[in-house]
Amino acid sequence: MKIIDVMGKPCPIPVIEAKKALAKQDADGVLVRVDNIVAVQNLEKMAKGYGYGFSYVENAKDSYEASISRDGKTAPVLNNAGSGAGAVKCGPPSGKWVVVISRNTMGEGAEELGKILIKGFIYSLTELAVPPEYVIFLNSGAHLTSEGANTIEDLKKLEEKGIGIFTCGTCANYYGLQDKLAVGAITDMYGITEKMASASNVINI
Amino acid sequence: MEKRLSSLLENCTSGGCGAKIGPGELSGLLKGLPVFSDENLIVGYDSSDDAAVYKIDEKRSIVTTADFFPPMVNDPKAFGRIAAANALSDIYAMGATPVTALNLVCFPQSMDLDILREILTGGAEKVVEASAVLAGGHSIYDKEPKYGMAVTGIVENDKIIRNDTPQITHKLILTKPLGTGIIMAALRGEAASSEAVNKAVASMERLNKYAAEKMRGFNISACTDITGFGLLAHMLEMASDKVSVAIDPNEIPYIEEAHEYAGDFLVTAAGQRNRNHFSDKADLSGLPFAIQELMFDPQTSGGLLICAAPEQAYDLLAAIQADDPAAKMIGEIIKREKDVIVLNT
Repeated sequence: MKIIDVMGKPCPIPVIEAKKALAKQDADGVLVRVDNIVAVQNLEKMAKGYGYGFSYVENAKDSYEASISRDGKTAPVLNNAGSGAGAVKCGPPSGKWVVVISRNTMGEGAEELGKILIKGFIYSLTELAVPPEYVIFLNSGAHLTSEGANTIEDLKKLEEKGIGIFTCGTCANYYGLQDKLAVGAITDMYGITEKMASASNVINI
Repeated sequence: MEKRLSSLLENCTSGGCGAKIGPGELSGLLKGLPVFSDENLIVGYDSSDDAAVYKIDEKRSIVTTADFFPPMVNDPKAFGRIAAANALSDIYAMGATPVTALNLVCFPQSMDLDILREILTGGAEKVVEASAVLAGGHSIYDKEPKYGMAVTGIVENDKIIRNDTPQITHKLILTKPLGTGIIMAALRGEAASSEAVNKAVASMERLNKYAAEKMRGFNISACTDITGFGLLAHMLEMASDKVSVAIDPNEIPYIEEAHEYAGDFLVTAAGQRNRNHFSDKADLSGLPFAIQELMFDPQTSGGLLICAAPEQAYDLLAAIQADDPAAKMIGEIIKREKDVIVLNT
């Protein structure tokens, strides 16, 4: 497990450094050394928010070790602004493909049929021998990752296989779904653009 | 210039009102001190209002306050403006007019004095804008730079606006967007966009003078300004043990990027300290995480939280929005319920 020493560094630097480490493709977890309990609490909010495992030990009044494990969960994209050096690497582009779903139905025609088709499409993704690296949900597609959608079960299967499921945060907010996310993580337009740009093939639905 | 300025920031562990001593620790400390009384001291520290008010005659009172903190921005002139706007704000929150200001300066011996000149220039600009007089000050050497002001204002005795006298049915207006603490902290982590920083700096530099001037002539039952303790703390303080506050979470104004960074868990230590201290006094669990964080976010030079009579509140809001377009009506005062903070969803 990678160890990050951010003793003496003010919040949110411990969170930023931990997120950078967790975003590395081969990272399974990170151990963060901090000097105050408030930094531990902020790391805990982040870890729990992304569904990661979290625990900490107090070695002394000014020495804590927080450990965060990804537990098979996909790391979220880093905040766009810091980008530059520490930004997420999406791995070599060869053979990586990405699905972008920007609506909650598939194809033109009857809405009812379109909903059946999109569910079928997402199910099919779970059956593929070479699955996509990411499935990204935009605009009304955000409904498909939210509580109550009939696509959640299949998306969770994809997530278990290590496929990144991301929903556009602006879109979720727009439809009032921000606290109903049932699978994957929220990302921003920078994260979406970056993933599309680094893919060798993008399939738009 | 850039190099020197960033070294100004690097010297500090936490900037702006985020450097405030935690609310829990502070109230514990104050309990040990004697309570002073003077029949002319209308508002003292026992009432935790924004500034002290001392009656000088039958008509008028003087209002005194002091505020200073370490820098939270790269630009020393902007830091000066923000620190001054922040110090002046308590005077406006009491319904008073600032008359004199004194500079309070801590500055490292090793640092370039041009930086200090810039800080003082920025501060002086705001005193001019406030139509007050810069009358002196006090400067010492210190490892970390800090700047602020002691300000004196004048108010007519019947125009004093306290922070803990809200009337039931009155509406609550917040005049500035939340999120400056989150954005400035993200800046320290080099994770804030320059647009976000510009918005936060503009908001912090903004004098509360304009919103305060609009209040005159309206029926206002209470007013305070949002500080490092965050919005929720000031709502609780306003409600005290007498009333409850019903808030409309969807109306709370915030800087867009701050909402985004909060969703990315880029939050401050001071915000978490506020959460630790206040979360058992109000249940925000029904709100999205980012909105909760914004309500705990420490504000430097935050907006006014104004409690206005319901029949006038929309006119007042419109008048404030003419100059401070982010202002919003965020809730109202209701009869005391079991919960001090009630969420209208």
